[in-house]
Parts: sequence; C-alpha cells; structure tokens
Amino acid sequence: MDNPFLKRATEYYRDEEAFLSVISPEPIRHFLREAEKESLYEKLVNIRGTPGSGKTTLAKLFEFPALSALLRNRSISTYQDLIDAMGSYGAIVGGRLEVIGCRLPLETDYREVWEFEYPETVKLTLTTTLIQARAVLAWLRHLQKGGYNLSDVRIEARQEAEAALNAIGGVAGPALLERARQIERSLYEVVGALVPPDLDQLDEAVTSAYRPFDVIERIVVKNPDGTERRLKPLVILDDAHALHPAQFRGLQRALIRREIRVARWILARLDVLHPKEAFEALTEERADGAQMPGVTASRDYLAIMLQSLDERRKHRVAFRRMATDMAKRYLVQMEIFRTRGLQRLENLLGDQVPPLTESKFDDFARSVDAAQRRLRISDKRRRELLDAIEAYTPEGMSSVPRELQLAMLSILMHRMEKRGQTGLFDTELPEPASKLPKVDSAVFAGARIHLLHKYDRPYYVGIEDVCDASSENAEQFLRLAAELVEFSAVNIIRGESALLEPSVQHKKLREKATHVIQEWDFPRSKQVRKLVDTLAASCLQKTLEPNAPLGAGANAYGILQEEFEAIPDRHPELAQLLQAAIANNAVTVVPRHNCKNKEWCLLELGGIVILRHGLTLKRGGFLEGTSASLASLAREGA
Amino acid sequence: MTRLWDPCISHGAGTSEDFLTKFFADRSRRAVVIAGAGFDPRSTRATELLAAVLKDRLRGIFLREERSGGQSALGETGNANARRLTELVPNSRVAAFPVFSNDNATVGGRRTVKALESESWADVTDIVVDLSALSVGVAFPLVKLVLKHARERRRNLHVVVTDDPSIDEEIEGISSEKAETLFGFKGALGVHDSSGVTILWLPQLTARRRKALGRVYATLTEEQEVDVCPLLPFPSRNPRRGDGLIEAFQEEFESVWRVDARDLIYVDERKPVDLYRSVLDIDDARKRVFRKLGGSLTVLSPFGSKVQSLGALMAALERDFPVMYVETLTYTSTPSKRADGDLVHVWLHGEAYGHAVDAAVIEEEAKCP
Repeated sequence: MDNPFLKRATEYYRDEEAFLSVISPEPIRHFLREAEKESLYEKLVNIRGTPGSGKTTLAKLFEFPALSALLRNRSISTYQDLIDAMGSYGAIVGGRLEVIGCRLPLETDYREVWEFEYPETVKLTLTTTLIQARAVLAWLRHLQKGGYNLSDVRIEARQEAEAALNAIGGVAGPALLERARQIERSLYEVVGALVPPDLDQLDEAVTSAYRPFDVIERIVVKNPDGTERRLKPLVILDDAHALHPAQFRGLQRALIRREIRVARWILARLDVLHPKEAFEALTEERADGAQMPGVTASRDYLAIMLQSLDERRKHRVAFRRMATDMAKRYLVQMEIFRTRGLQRLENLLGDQVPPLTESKFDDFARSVDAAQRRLRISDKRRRELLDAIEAYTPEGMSSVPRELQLAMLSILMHRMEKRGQTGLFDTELPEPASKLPKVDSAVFAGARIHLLHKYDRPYYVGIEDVCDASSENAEQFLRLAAELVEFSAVNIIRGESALLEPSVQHKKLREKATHVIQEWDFPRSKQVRKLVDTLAASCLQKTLEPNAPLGAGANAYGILQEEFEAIPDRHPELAQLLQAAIANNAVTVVPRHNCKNKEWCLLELGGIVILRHGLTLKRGGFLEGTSASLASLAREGA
Repeated sequence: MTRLWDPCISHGAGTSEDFLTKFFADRSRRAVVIAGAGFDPRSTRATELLAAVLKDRLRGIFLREERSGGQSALGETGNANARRLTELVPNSRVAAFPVFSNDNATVGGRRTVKALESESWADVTDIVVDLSALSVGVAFPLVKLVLKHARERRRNLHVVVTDDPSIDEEIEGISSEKAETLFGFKGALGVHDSSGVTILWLPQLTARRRKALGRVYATLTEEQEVDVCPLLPFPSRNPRRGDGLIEAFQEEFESVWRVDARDLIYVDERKPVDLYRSVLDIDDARKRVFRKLGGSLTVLSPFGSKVQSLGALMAALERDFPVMYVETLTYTSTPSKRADGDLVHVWLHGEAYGHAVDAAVIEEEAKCP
C-alpha cells in the first residue's frame, strides 16, 4: 500500500502540484510571523532548525516553479490560504510573482573546495563563484522551464557596475547563461579532479571577478503580451551546515554586505555552529544566531529559528494546528480513506480508554488498601479523600474512571504521609488532617502515568499526543502518524473499523519510538542514546515516586542557567554531545526557566525519547542537576 | 561499442591463487601491493600469497583508515594486521590518514590520493591493489589514480579482493549523515548541462545500510526524476540472499522507490565482470531510448559485497558514472570469523590488453634519481 506519510517531503518536490497539495500555510505564517517582508529580501536571512523541521520545504515553496504553480492553480480554493500567506511575505503581490527564487543545496561539491591547498581567500572566492554561477543558472533554468524564451530575459544591473557587468556576460539572458555555464564547467573540473591544479594553473575564468550578486538588481522577463515583469532574485542556500565552519563564516561575511542586491537566505542546522556559538544562540533572549566581528545581528541580518525557544505554549498549539492540517493533506491522498470520507487523522484516533479488567482492578485495590494500612490512614480520612476526588472533574471529562480515582487516592495518601511523619511506634495518626491535600490536575496526571507503568493503561492517546511527541518537528510527526495510518488502513482492508483503539495507538507509538531510537545513526548517536536513556531512567524514577511530587512527572534535566552557559568552556566534550543531541531532536533546550527563585536551563528529552520510556509529554517537571554530574554521565556513556 | 574490459582477464575461486602464483614466479616481475591495514580479517590474505611468491621482489603500501569514536578493540585488531603486513613485506610503508575531517566532511578519498600522488612506480612492473579491507570511499579513488599512473607509465595493474559477503554483512557501523558522490566520481551529476537528464539509479543493496540507501535516494530525487533498478546477487553462495534483500526493502520498493519485479537486476555475486557488463548493457540501452528525451545518466551506489563493488568500479571508470555513497563514520562491530572466502582477481591494465610492460625501460627508470 502506498503510504504518503512514509515519504520524506522531498519525495514531492519534483512535481510542483503534488508538492503544493501537501503544503500547509501554517508553518510559513508561524515561522515568518515576526519577519518584516522587506527584511526577507534586503538583508541576509539566517534560518536554522533541526533535521526535518521544514527548512527545505520552506525553501522549495519560495522557488519559482512552486510559486508559479501556485498562481497557475489560484482558482483552486484549497490553495487560497497558501497564496494569502505568500502574499503576506511579499512573494506574490497583486496576484503576480514578485520574486524569482532558486534553492541551491550546498551538500555536495562546495565543501570539497575547502580541502584544496590554496589560501583561504582563494578557496572562499571559488566557493562564492560556484554559488553565484549556479544561482544564475538556476534562475534562468526555472524561467526556461516556465516557458520563457531566454531572449526575452534580461537583467537590470546596479548603477556604476560596468566592469562587473561585463564579467558576468552582460544583461541579456543567453549571454548570462553562457558565461555562468562556462564558470560552472571550469570550477567543476577543478572540484572533480583527482589532483587539483596548482594555484598558478587555475583557469582564469574561475578566479576572475565573476560577481553577479553584486550586479543584478532585478531579472526582467517579457510576457507574451509584450509587458514586462521585474522579479527580485532570491537565492536560498540550503544545507549550509555541510560547509567547513570557516567556509560557512566566510560565506556569511560575503553575503552580509549591503552592496549585494540579490535576496539571500542561508538555511542550516544548528550544529553548523561552534558549540559555544550554538549554546549562545540557544540561550539568547531572541535567537539571533552567531555573532561575527563587526556585525550586528538586528541591523545586518535576520535570524529565524525553526524551533521554539520562547512562548513555548503558543508554539506547541501552533504546531498542533500545523500538524493536523498537514495530516489532513496527506490523508486525502490515500484512496482507502478518501473514498470513505475519512479526511482527518484525529477522527481515526479513539479516545475512550477501556477500564482495567476486574482482576487487575482488584489487584490494584488490594495494593491501595495495603498502602492505607501501611500509612496508617483511617477509613474516615480515606472517605474524605475519596469525596474530594469524586468532586473533581478533569477538563474535557465528565467523570474520573474508578481506577484513576484509586490511583489518585494512592497519591494523596502518600502526600499525607509526607506532610505528617509519625513516630515508629505511634498508633494514632498525627493531626495532618487540618488540611487535606489538594485534588487537582497534577494528581490526576500523576495517577494516569502511574497506571501506565503499573498496569500498562494506555497513556499516549489522541492527536495532541502524536503532535506533542513530535518535538515540533514535521518529519517526526509524519513518521509517528504513518504507523497509525498504516494500521487503520489494514483494519479497513480486513473489514474492521478504521478507528484505532487507545491501546493500539499507545502500543504503536511506543514501538515506533523504540525503533526510531534504535535506528539513530548520526554522529555520536551511540553516546547520545546512552545519555538520554540514563536521564530518562532518572526521570522515570522520580515520576513513579508514590506521592507523584511532580504530578505528571519529570521529562527534563535542569542545570542552573549560568552553569549551562559555561559548558562549552568547562566540559567541551559534553558540549559537543549535547549539540548532537539537540540537532537531532533527542533533547530540546529550554533556557531561562524560573523555578524556586532560580534561573534554570532545562534539557528536555525529545518526544521520541519520552514515548520510548513512558514519560509525560507535559512540560515543566525536571530533575535538578549540575553540569559536572551531567558531564560525568556523558563520560560513562562514551 | 568496444569496451575496456570485454573480454576481461579475471579469475575467481580456486584459479586466482594459481594464476597469481605462476604469474609472479617470473623473476623479472617486481610488484607493489597496496592494501588496507584495518580490522577486517581479510586484510592480510592477498599479501600473504604475494609475499610467499615474490619475496624481496615485493614492496608494500598499507593504508590505515582512521575513524574516531570506534571500538578500541577494532583499533587493536587494525594495529595487529598492520604489524603482520609489514612483517610479511619488510620493504613497505604504512600511510595513515583520517577518513573524516574534524567537521565530519568525508576526506578519505582525497587523503588517499595525496598519500600516493607522488609515488614512484619506477621499481615495479606490476601494481596490485587489494580491495578486501579498504572502504569504498578510499578504494574507488585509489584505483582511479593508480589506473591513470599505470596507463601513463605502462605498468600492469591487478585488483584482487577476498570474496566473503558474509563478512561484509557482519561489519556494522554508523553512517555519515551525507549522501555524496565519491571523490573523483562525480560524473556529470549536478551540473547545469545534465539538469534535463533522467537518472537511472542502480543501487547494490545490503540490509544493514538501508538507511544510507534511503539517504542516497532522497538526495538524488531532490531535483530530478529517478528510476530505480536494484542490483541483487544471484547466483549467490546463499541462494536466498536476493530474496532476503527484497524482503528487507519491501517498504522502499512499494512506497518510495516504486520498484516492481521487472526492475530487478540479478548479477552473479562472485563475478565482478558480470555486474560490469550488466550495467554497461543497461546504460547502452537507456542511452538509445532517452537520446531524444534529454538523455539518461546512470548513477551507481556500491553498498553490496566487495566483489560486486569491484564490478561497479569498473563500470564507473569506463563510463565516468557518478557514484553516490554514504561513508561509514565509525565501525561498531567486527566480524569474528577468519577470512576464508575466495580470492578474486581482475587484471585491469597492462600486457593482457596489449599494453606492453617493458621491463628494460622500467630498469632504466629505476636507475634515474
């Protein structure tokens, strides 16, 4: 069965209509919400995110073929939202294209330039020359594929750039193309050679002043009716983390110059940065990225982080909206669901958790009775607690199922014990009873997770849990959703209901999480796996304390903010390990978390790790620790 | 169209040892063996054979691929193999180099070329490259460089490999995150002039590199349409190996690569020439069909056994095919067994193909400083 959820987003890139059909406008609105539309095309834009966070999808959407397809299909109502979103960010104005975007993946060829035994300035020139030649080729190729004749294409050049204009081949489309092809071929020969030529043997074409980014203001195309369109050229450099760190910095410096008229975006993963820079980027009040000498972030470039650092609640809600919208777009592509009118993933996920079996319930009741006796709590007090529990109604539920009531009772009894410790030989209760422990959502959440671990009661249920377990990562969401969708489709084929029972959802999600973690094979993945397993085990221990001190439990490790910031200097190995963990969604950094009058930095376990170990998806519960103890844990795993 | 290695002088199980022993018994022959000095139990097998025949007429260059973060036991095995190799061939050197730079860029191929770039072949008539314990990212550029030198300086070039697919299957590692063309094997992939071609991807499958193969596919399909025809081993030592691979890649075949039974290409697991010929036949047929449709570009990904990789290497050398691969960042397990596979030999350049190796000229060259 063809399951579109199993495909990477890149699978859709070759066909614009297919690509647009799975694109939700939500992430564009969400990530670019604070960007002024002029800044997107005037300054250098640095976009950072984890793998699968949607960097390439964003880039693809701003490319000329996707925008053209969007306008071609403007009469289709489902695209209207997307057209509006692109309009808000200046790509489409008055129903016409305003920019001509091209995406250049930097994964191949470019890094090899840095291995040449040439001076760094030469290597940087070769890098920027290759990028510029390929950008020109990509813009012109897009126009040709879009049905334009090259003879109807010209550029508007910057004033006083005559010499530079000659170096790029002039203003006419065919000459521009020919010059760019010549440059690419010459550079490709150097990059592909087993033994690169000596510096003085380098082809003049590749070292000459070929700088189209400094020259081109607009690309002008003539329409069939004779009118002209002036398009702002945009180059999107994707996967820039593949460059050498010095090459990356050099490229940033080269593209930050204000003389450049071409709009330019650099997309990279967080681990492109030096650990110190990455830690600074993560903990800054606003994600402004790496600092470079003489460069002021807000004035010279725009930084966009595809990961929430502030207003986390808002981000989580926005991601849920985006993910459900995305799931809807994928689901309608599956005939088996479409023909049955099943268009929303949330409608496939049943939320009625079945009660515990009688035998399990009786077993649990006996253990609670035993706890009551051990804690020497009178029947009267137990009744009072039960009354308070029965009076409590959690949000979205009409009543609390009996096994949860019992689990809540157990937690409350243990909380009472903590309040009034009795002596070893006391037979009477002390007087803690002046005030009963509060029955609230934390007790309810604690009861749910305790029952997960005691009786395997389904815990991860419903669309919100699938979204929250995705760590705000679109690809991770699709991988989790794929499991559920696949199982639902199999049910339909078997003639059963498409609705997935909570126990099935819970089991499938946890199995998938275990599989994903086993499959990790990024650099340092073995050490990362060991570190998060150890942290998760400690969190679980805290979570399962009988009085549920943190309610739903812990899923993070907290270090004082100032200690966290010093990790790159004091524990460089740990810094690299954390950087790998963060870059691959194993851990999320929550800076400046205020608790007990102190400022903490939380290392929150990723959604997949949480699923695997049966921890809460609710945020905030953490273990207090130090960077030294974390470094020692990391060393043990090495 | 004539082909470089059709006919090809090659030897398989049982005949390789015999051929090499007789061939190098000729006292006018002097050889250099280039082999990997790693943890692979196949590291020393071919050198043992050559050293026994050639004795002091053999010198050695042993390549030590360095990867960080692996098991220390692997390093120790590698050291032991390196010691054994230098004992076998006293007139030898060990060239060690990192396969990855500090920022995890793949540099092994380039460093290999650098290690051998200025090598003098003046004192030898024959160059023997043993691929058994070399990674693909090192072996391919190495053979390309040595073939160039052998052509320019009129030397014989032999490639040998100890064929044991079960060892290849046992070696596990962590893949790099990048699917990229091997150093020196870019072909025309990624240049503007080939932006309109249809790509035919011929991956050699192996279950343990499933994720890496997925990365190659994702990278290739970013910009262009890709047809996939997996290469499966048959005949093979384990007759069900091909079926096992179909089972392992079921999800990819059905949902991602869209491969059906007509797309599968079966190649003899023990004969590199079979893979080489099959690939070239397919390429010829595709070129004819796609001539007026923008052209066709064949891309190889040698993830399978060493012998099959050798076939892919020969095809890539002949047609300048791009080779996409995901290098192994670090190895995590080593095969426990001894190398008891068959030795396969392919004569890549020299006398067998009418390129005379003039021992007298070589004698003269050796005298020159």
